[in-house]
Amino acid sequence: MKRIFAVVLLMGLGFTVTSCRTVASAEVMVFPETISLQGKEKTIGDSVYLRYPFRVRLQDDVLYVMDIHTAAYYIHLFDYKTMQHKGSLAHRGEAPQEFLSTENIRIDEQGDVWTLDANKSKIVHLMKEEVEQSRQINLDKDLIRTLDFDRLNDSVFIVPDYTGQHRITFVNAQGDILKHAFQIPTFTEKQSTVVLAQAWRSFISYNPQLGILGMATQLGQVLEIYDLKQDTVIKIIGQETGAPQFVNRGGYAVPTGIMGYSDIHVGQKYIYALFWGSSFEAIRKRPDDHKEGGRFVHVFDLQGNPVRQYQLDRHLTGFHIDEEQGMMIGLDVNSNQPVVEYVFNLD
Amino acid sequence: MKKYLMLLTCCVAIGIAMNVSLQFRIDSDKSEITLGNIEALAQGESGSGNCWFRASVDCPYSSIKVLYVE
Repeated sequence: MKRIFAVVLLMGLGFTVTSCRTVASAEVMVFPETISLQGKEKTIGDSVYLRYPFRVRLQDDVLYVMDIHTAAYYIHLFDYKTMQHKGSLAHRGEAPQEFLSTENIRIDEQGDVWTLDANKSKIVHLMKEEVEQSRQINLDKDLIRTLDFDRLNDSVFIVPDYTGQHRITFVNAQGDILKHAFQIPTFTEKQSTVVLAQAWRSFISYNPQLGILGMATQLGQVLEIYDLKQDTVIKIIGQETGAPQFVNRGGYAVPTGIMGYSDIHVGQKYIYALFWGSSFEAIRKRPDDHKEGGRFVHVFDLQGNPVRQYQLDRHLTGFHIDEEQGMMIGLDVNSNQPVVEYVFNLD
Repeated sequence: MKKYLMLLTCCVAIGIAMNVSLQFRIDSDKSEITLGNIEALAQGESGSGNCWFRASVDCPYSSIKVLYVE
């Protein structure tokens, strides 16, 4: 009898242990305060259907919204006051002037709009009138799958890529590599650099006045802050506890941890990063129940110290931050009206 | 003592049965979702794995953005 009991008890313990699942922790950072924000929808007419809006920028009352799964145009322009559709840019297609993807929108001091087509490996200066020819910069062949970009100055771009040899690369207006800087801040050894770069895929934001570059991992909870004027690392936040979790499957990084950050903005006073925290395990189990986007905006000072987090009333995939006005425009991909405006207090 | 052991054994056995049943249901739900959305395989196939549903994660096997990778 005792033997039967022992066997059943051991089986029970075994089942209990194997049924326990690791839960990705979203608590690797502690913020002194959490402030709840309520958004206000900005209604877009029926003229434009956005499938997966992912990036948004506001410049001179023109709202630029980038849709990464579009059937026709990747970027749509709206009058921000009326939300009237003003036009569309970056037509999907394989022709030389068309796009196979877009990764981000950057607007320079002259108000010119730039984007990156990762699938064609090009940075493109978009013309607001469709009749004009866009200016295309073919990226150096030594770069592998450049997935984000920002402008260092008028003639130099900052790009991360999948070579994994360096954290970022500077390319000139012809797309040639000028120099590399920094390393992926991983403690993982014996992995191919390409696999590491895939796992550490990050979104970037550069503040040219301050010379500060922020990088936020999509597949983990790491935020890197670099001083590009001094060529120094200011701080790596979450380097150990928030490092992207992955398995190397046939030379590819398969994410197994969490969806971390999906957008970042380096302002004049603070750094803002949009955080999801959803585990891939939960997404795989219940893809239909999953809401795309993050409900937290993490705010750090320029030295990387946590200042506060904003808890949002909906899930956002991308944001535009106007620090001076204390205003944020977010994209809620789960809604038919994805453009949402938030107001936050300035201090 | 024997009665106590019997009761405890029964409890553990019921626990195991419930655990197995729950796991079965979860796996069954998952396969229903997978089968129901077979078209959601987001063209990210390779010998190594698959990419599912269109979203914002870069599929390592192809050039599309997906919900998750296997």
